[in-house]
Amino acid sequence: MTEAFINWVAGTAINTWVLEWSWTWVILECLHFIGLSLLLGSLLVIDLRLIGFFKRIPLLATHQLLPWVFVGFGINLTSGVLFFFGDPGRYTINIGFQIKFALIALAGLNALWFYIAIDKQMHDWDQHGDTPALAKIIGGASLIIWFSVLIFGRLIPYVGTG
Amino acid sequence: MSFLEALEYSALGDWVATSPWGYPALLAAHSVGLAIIVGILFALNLRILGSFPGIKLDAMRGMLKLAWAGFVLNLASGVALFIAQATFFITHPAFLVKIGAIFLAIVDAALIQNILRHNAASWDKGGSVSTKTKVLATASLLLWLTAIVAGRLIAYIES
Repeated sequence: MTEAFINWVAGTAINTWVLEWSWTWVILECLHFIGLSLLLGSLLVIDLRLIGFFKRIPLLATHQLLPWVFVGFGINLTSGVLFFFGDPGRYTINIGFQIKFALIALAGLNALWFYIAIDKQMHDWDQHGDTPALAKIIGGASLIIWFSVLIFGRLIPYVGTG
Repeated sequence: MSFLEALEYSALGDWVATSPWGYPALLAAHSVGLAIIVGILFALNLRILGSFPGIKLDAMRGMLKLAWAGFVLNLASGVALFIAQATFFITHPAFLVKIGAIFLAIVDAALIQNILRHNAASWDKGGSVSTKTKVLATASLLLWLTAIVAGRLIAYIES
């Protein structure tokens, strides 16, 4: 089943496209680093304010950074999918990749939790005041999860494959 | 034995090069520091260039402390990584470009920080950001992009 999937990915035109020019991989790596800088830099501002730091930043104004979060995530989703299609056998069975993938899913759930439990209420909070415990938990979880995504991603070449 | 070889054979250099987790742990720390310093400076530079005007420049300025903490982490992890392969890095063109770009980017960030310290509050009250500051912010973005690309190329081109 896993092997059939790997063989299917390895037989796609995308796999050929990623591998046919030797510089494609390093260009994708550069894009992945640029994307993570945009994503994590924007999230640092948003989440640290949500935790209660940098109170001079109005809570609602941090929404204006969301486009950069999505640009960074979009760059890394695209480059990441291309990495996977270029070398499916390596990533599928790599424990670092598996943990990273699970953590990204968890970050998505955390973002959903923010949207459901926090986002609407933020209008009523003191824009330059401290934040409720739930906001601190969700903001803190976001930073811990995303920095863990970064660390496990960086460890992919150095951890066991299966 | 040259100084650089002595570094490689030092206790730290030997640990980084031979312990199973030394090198990956330092690389992981180096990526965390990168995300902090480049991430914060990306955000600050985009703000200087006019993005997310709802956050005052004088309030964004406070995040620079965190960016410097990221830089300290990467200076420390970078020095440890360098020591382990000092003779390899010192002649590597991509490494030299990376270090040059980072040196300029740090000077640039210090200049931006100094300008904002004196002007951010008045620019927030309705003045527009000076052209000089926007040029420095654009240069900052380009220098960090150069550092990232050159850093990646270390693994791909010959020393």
